Amino acid sequence: MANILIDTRRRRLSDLFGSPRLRRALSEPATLIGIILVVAHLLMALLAPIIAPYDTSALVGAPLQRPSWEFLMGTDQIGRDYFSRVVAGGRIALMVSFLGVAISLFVGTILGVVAGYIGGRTDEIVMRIVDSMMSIPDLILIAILTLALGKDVSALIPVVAVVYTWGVVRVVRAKTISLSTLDFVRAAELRGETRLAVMLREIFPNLIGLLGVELAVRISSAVLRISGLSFLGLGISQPTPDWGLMVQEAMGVVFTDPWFLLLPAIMLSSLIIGVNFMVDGLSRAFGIATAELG
Amino acid sequence: MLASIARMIGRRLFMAFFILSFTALIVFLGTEVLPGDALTASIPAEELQFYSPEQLAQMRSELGMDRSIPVRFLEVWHQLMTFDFGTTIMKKESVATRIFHPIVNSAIMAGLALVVMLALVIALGVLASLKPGGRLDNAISTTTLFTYSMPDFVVSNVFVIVFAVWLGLVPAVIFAPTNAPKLTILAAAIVPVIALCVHGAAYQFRLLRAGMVEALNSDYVERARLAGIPQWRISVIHALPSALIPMLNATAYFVAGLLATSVVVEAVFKFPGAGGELLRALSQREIPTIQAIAFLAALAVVFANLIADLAILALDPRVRTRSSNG
Repeated sequence: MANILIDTRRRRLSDLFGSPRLRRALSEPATLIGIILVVAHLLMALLAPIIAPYDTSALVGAPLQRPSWEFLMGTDQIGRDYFSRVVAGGRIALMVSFLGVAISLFVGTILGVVAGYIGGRTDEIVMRIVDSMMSIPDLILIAILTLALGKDVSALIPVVAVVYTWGVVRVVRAKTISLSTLDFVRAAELRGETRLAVMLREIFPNLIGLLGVELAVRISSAVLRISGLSFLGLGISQPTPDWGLMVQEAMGVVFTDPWFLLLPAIMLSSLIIGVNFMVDGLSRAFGIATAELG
Repeated sequence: MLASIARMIGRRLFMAFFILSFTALIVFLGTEVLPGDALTASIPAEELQFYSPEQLAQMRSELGMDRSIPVRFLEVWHQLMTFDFGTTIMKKESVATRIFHPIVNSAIMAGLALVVMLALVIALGVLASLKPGGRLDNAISTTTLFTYSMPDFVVSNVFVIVFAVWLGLVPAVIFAPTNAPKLTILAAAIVPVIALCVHGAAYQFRLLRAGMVEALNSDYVERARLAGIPQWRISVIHALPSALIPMLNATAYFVAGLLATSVVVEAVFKFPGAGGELLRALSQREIPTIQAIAFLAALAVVFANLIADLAILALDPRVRTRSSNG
């Protein structure tokens, strides 16, 4: 009888798709809009070289032209096709964020699971380091790191990784601690499995939903931070098209042509809004707590 | 009882000290040890080629940079911990004097933002929890998620366009000098503070709402409800105190985010604060100033967290009895 009461279920990837929960999530308009926005943005970023009619850094016409069939969104201050730049403006930030966040998820998951499952002194040390890193405002940490590593775009990847690892550790550790008390983990321990096996086979599969949420939320947060950094002149620099940088450039002509500011601002906002609404809806449907928004 | 509270506060203070020392180490490593050093970083690249290696070596020894890394770190650590901050490398100006007014101005803005935001978040949290899942709750939750997703520099710029360009209510940028009377600074901070709240209130609101929903589902609230106490009174007096705790637990994270956002907001509104000073120091690679501002930002976060811990102690009797082991 006691055997039956032991909960040995593990969550598998296949459970996430094709379930009634997903269908319920999709029936909410906000979630659906979020998913559509994210898919549209990903397609646009991937296909930007095909969609964009001109080279993003080529001078193709007179500066500050009105929109026309030749230049769908007009031309910018030095005569580059604005439509091409708006379409490509999220690519670099997205790519850098994805790679950086992927590293931080990898490192953060290892640290979080180990700290949460082993506990004791290991946990204490890891968490004090996490607390310290999270006490430095991320923008200041990013600024210091870009100063140290240089302003090259590839240098932004480790910067993003360093900044986002600590939040991942906290979330993963909390989840690991709550999982560690559950029956299927105890059962594995009683079977005599090693700690490593328990962490890999029992705890990790149950973190996948949470890690999916983390991936999306941290990427949107990283894109936001990188564009903020580019806006301040500390991130992506000319001639690479970037929405943050374009907003900054457009501030000079905001009184005469506010559209130059609003177009990249709308693009960036719609990406972040899409990610947040998608994550909010999906995580509610699948019962994954997301108190910690990026 | 009192002894255990004292022990807990002592433990927190020790942790604050550890966190600040660690922060000093990170800032030191980031600014002084990684590629190049503070000296070559301070000299513009196009001028650097005119210095001979001997000249640079001599300047280094004058600045004490030829000493070993641990010795230099201890010096930086001691400076930061005693709020001395030293002088800038090239011009030999006192960093403390330079950043005093910008730091005070930023503190005024961040403090005002904190007060306004807390009031706003508590009001919204109570309103949303009156009927969880109801129309008002959904409207507030969706709106805050929406404003949370708006990039801070976009919100600020939209504010400039709307308030300054279209309505002409306020000047587009602030022309107050850093040492302007603090009342002028306070007035200048109003629009930036609203911009900060638009972005920052959502995160706190989510935590508070989650806490309210949990508290309202608990047994003691059920008892109060059965006793016939009106809903608003239950929300404010019975549920709110314990619902504030998850929000207060995230204070460090929240204040760090607020400070990061205020760098951006200050840049848009040209607010004469520490954010602008930090950006200037970064572009001129003025290492001691960067170290000082980064350290003070971390200090603000640690201090806010300490106050939040004390508030939790006051709100939650369970923590007081548990504090001997936590």
